[in-house]
Amino acid sequence: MQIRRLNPFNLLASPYGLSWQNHVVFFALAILALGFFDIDRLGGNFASWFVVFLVGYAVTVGVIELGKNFTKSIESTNQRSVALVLVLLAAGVMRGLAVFEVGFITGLIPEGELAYRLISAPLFVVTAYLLGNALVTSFLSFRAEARRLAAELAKLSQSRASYESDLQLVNQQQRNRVKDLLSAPMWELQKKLETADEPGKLQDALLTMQSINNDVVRPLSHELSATVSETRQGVGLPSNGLGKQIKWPSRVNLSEVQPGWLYLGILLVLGFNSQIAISSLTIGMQIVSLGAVPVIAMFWLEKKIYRKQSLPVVRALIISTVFGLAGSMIGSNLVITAGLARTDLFAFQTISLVLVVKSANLVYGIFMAGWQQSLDELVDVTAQQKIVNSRLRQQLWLGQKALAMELHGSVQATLQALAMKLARMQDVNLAEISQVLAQVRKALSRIENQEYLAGQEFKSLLAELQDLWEGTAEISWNIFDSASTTLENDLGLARCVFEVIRESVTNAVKHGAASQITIDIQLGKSSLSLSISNNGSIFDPQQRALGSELMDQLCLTRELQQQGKLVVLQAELALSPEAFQESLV
Amino acid sequence: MSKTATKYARHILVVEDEHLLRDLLARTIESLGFQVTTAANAADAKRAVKTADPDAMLVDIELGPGPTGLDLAEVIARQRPDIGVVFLTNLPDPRFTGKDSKAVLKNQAYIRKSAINSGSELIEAIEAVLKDKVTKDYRHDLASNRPLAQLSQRQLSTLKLVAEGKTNQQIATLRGTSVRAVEAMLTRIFQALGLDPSSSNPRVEAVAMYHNLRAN
Repeated sequence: MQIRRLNPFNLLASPYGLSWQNHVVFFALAILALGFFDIDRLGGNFASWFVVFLVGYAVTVGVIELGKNFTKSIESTNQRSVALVLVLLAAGVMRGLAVFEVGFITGLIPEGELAYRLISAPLFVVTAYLLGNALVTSFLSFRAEARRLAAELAKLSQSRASYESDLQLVNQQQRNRVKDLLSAPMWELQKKLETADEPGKLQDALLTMQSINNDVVRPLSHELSATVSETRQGVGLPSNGLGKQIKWPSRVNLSEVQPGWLYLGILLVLGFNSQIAISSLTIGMQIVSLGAVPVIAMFWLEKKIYRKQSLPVVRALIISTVFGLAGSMIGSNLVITAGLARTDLFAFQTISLVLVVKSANLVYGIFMAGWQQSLDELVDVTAQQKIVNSRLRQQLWLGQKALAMELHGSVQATLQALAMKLARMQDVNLAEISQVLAQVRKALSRIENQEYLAGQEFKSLLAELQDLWEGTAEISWNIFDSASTTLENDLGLARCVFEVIRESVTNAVKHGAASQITIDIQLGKSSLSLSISNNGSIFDPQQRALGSELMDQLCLTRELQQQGKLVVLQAELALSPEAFQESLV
Repeated sequence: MSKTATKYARHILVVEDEHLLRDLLARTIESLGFQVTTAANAADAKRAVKTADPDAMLVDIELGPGPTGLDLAEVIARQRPDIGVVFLTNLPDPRFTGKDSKAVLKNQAYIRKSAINSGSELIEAIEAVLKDKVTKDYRHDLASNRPLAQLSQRQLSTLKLVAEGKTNQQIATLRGTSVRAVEAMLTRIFQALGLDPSSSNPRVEAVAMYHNLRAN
């Protein structure tokens, strides 16, 4: 896995950049520097130094918090990062001054150290905050992404779990309820028609039929449509309390997760900074150059050896520490042997510095790997979620369409027509009344109807479209065998595909003046790919019309683009739950 | 496709997928002196145009799973603009089928089934189309008292998205606008519908109104 890292410099301007957690990390690093460096170098008791430290810390944090407010209005990430580095430098200068003043007054810092303090403090603040911010921000970004992933996973699982029941609700329970509510008035109508042996009774039956249409069928269809909407609202909502757990990467590659430039850069800056203060510019450079060689060599060796290995995180941490320990021990011994070390604690200081920076560098790498892994998984989960939701949208649209066609289409139209027929009947005609009764029963039986293509084949619908547009646009199609089988087995999907084609053809002719339209349909891994190309002109795909909403409802993805002389609509339609679940295994 | 002949009469093509209503309409129009041909879907109607050469057609918008009545009218307007078109439908206006109001051309009539009480009213609409004198009386889709007439097309399509259960955020994403803009539009929609935007749940009331009309 190639890890895409967030740049530590740009991380300064990220939403988590220089947050309060950074000050905690800086506190730890600053107290380490005090313990390992200043006390050893200048002497004095810890309590007095701690007072100096607290003043320096308070000034640093205060200046950074103040400076941050001034950078908030800068929109460009790069410009804001530069501004924040300047804030850190200013905080460092103020820190150097404050530490010097308090240290001088208390007799801990000699007068001649002012220049050193004014140079080293800003360097220390910038490097420490860059490293600390990289750690904190990568951790917070990783945690946020991991929580989002957990929430999306829960949403996906909930959508899958409720998928069948939602459809059941739309397709069956509501139909049953319609039947239950219609059965009593229909029984009454049937009785009245059977006993309609005189015009008065026939008129009574007619009124009953009209009342069924107005008082039962129409209100029911209103209610059903509303229920479809409520069902959809309930789909895919994340449950509360998700994402509390962070799933760490189980294995890491030492070569990939450890950015060398950050590790070595910080190590060298801090090394030079401290050694120049202890001795002089020349000797300081000699010490760092000599001591750094084994550290760099061991780091290179570590990356080389474990270049192709993915290790458990704990093991990786141990190995990384061992290599850091070996490099820093050899380096410090070389310096001591060469007689360059100015303090007895030199080996301890070197080893501590290397291990702190190396561990921080590795942890930063692990957070970045976790962040990347979460992002990758999130992409996958979001794609699956889109498929589930897209299919559900299709199915709800189909359910709504079917109900609409059956209730306020077929049933209402039939009852309306029969009522008109009864009204025109001059005399009571038992044969005709029986015929009316049979037609009423037949109309109601269509509430059970789930034939999305009304008994027609998908290809015959295409042929209808072809015939309709003949003379204006020539339509041809190519359906791959696997796609053809899918469309034969899944009539709901076939209906949705046809609607998309119908809408696209109308758009191509009406808005693009197309005269040749070619439709290609093939089966993908988890969706049906539809390509509709035409020789017309492209219209603004961003322009949203009512037809766009229908397309959005039915398609998983869709894109209209110019390809050479052709305008091509590429659309993906989600497959049935069975088909896409198989594809996910 | 079926045909009933009356000598020298004007020829009307009835396009309706429900056979009972189709037959009833055919008989009613025929009884008023017209020659009638019927078709159950758009493709049959197109063929009937070639063979029967009608003067006008009476078209339902929803014609089952195939091409719609609006598709048919679009083709006829291009290939045979001389044929008059009368839409006879349950829908308040074409926006309810996902088409804009321009889908019905100036010289076409739009009649709601629920507004028809007798065959003669249909004939008046057909005559108006044949004489190219379509007035507002025959454009129920433009009637000011039609349901949701006070909403613009954009407002109606926003209400449709609300009725589909989409959140303001989702609508904003679909529309490529901000959530605040969607909220402002919804407030205007509620006001146009006579709902108090500050009441307990104007959203639910607006959706109920939409569904009631969609189902009528």
